Amino acid sequence: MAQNESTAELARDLSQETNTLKTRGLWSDAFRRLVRNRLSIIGLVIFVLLFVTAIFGPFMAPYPYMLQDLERVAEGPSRDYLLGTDAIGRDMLSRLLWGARTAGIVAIISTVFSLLLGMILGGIAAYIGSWADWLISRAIDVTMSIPQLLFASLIAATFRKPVADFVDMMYAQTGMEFFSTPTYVDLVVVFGALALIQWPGYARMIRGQILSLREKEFVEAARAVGVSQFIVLLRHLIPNALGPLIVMVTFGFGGAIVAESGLSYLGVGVQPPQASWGNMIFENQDSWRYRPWLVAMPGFTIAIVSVGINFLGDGLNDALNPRQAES
Amino acid sequence: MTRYISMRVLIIIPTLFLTLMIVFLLGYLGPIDPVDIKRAQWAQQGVFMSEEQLAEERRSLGLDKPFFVQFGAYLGNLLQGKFGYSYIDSAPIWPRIKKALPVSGALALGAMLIMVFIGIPLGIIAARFHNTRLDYAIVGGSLFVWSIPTYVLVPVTLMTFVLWLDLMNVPRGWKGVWHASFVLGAAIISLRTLANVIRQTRGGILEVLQNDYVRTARAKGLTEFLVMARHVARNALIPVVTSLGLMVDDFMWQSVFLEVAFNFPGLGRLFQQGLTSRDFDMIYGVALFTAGMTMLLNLIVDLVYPLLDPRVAYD
Repeated sequence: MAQNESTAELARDLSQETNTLKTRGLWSDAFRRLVRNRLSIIGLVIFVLLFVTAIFGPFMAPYPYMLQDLERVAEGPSRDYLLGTDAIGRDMLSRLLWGARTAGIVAIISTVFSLLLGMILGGIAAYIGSWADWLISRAIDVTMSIPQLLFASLIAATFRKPVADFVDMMYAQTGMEFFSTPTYVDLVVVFGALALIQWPGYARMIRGQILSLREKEFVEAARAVGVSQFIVLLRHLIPNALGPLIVMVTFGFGGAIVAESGLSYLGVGVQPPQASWGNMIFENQDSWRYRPWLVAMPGFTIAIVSVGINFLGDGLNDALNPRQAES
Repeated sequence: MTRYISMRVLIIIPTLFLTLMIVFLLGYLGPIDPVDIKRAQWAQQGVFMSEEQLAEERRSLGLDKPFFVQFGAYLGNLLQGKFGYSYIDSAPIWPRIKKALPVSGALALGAMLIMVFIGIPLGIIAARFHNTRLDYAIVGGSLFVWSIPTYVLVPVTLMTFVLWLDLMNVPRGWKGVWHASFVLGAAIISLRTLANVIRQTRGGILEVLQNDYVRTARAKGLTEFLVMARHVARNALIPVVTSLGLMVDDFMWQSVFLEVAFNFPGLGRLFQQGLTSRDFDMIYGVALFTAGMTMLLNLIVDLVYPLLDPRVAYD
């Protein structure tokens, strides 16, 4: 990216001289590359749609997510129930919309958690070096060499009850309204489990980026002309490290959605009756032969979201890290 | 070389130790108290244990000892192959793992074969027809497949093969490796890593193709097949080998979903049964075993790597 900057600067100089050459910055250049890729635009649309659904979906849902209509169980799509009802008469469309909120919340918060943890630890490792670097790098190695999702499910299974007990205890002691409904306990456990397996990736990348960028000529040049360390970090290190980071966060985001549904499928994530696409698949899985649409709908939803986010990540990778994508 | 090997082996020891420590800590801090379970089981039969009896039980299980003593005893048991007992029926866990192992092992091997014999050729084809429609189709298709989680893939494939195409019956239970359900299962759990292998192979080959020795090989009149087989593929496939360790991790996680849906009595289903019935020693045992296998495979890959690529430094 150093070359990109220097070529951009060269172009700027040229345009000042000739006044005819239009210049494009790094980001607008990347944006043009992204827009040119049709698949990543589809991915971007799906990504935005997921957010909109996560925020507004529950308000648009025609029924509450746990309302049962026991006279119309396991029906196909109809005028009243646009996507049909599940085996105990709940509206599929409403549950899918609520599931989008679950997926969105889990993906955002677990990504933010693990990103923060990764940034802090990766930054410390790169800046302090010596023993801190050694310690953090070993921690990264160990965490990454453990089967990741297997351990996430272990952690989610183990800590669900202690966290729920803790919330109960807090309610008994403080009587605060916040602790009275333990519905968010599942979410907290899932955030924790996912953040715990995702941080090493971010930490390793941030450490590597800082270490390699620090040695680059333009950083040395900035230092040489007397730019303060903070400004170097702000103007040179962070913008250059941002490209790969954005790509990684995008993939991590999709991964978190798939992982949350996976944990919920196994019964250690979001518990019924809360709607999660994963537990919707599990609940309806046994009836795939007689009512295949009940499995197919949440399944296709997850698949579309995951495919979309990954195509977006792939497109972003090509757009933001052009030299890596050349081959 | 000896130094390299001993370094690799030495690194795995603290990793394994820490993994054991984490698993033990989970059990130590976790929600299940074996004495409490026993008390509940006895109480169901109308026998109520007194406080002294509970304390006695605690002592006999070593639960009153300090943390590190308990951890030491746990390690000792593991070394003797004692993975603990199921909370549900008090049966030892190790025999179950041993019984489930061939099923999961066969699935992983099958998936590995599919990966090697389909993934690598597809990657080579994509690289050979770089920037053509075929390349885009293979790369795009592999990203597409990679994105779809197994728990979606399984019911969708079942619907396709059983309901729509009507090619097979509902797969129920283990019928050996020559049965269609095994082939389908191995194919499903191989798909995600297959996508990875395709992309890696393609990237590696494109990189190697730029080397001078490839041009030399072509210039001296070797056939395209020989150039690919002798000069390109051999160098391009080395990185693919390194990701084998990660694949075991992935296979395990995929086969949890697959074995549940297909009712295969493998490690994955054992794990899922443990999760649903909150049988903690069972899931710790299976997880530990898988972690150990993954690390062992990573070690083997690390050791084989310098043999494949003499350029790798031994330090």
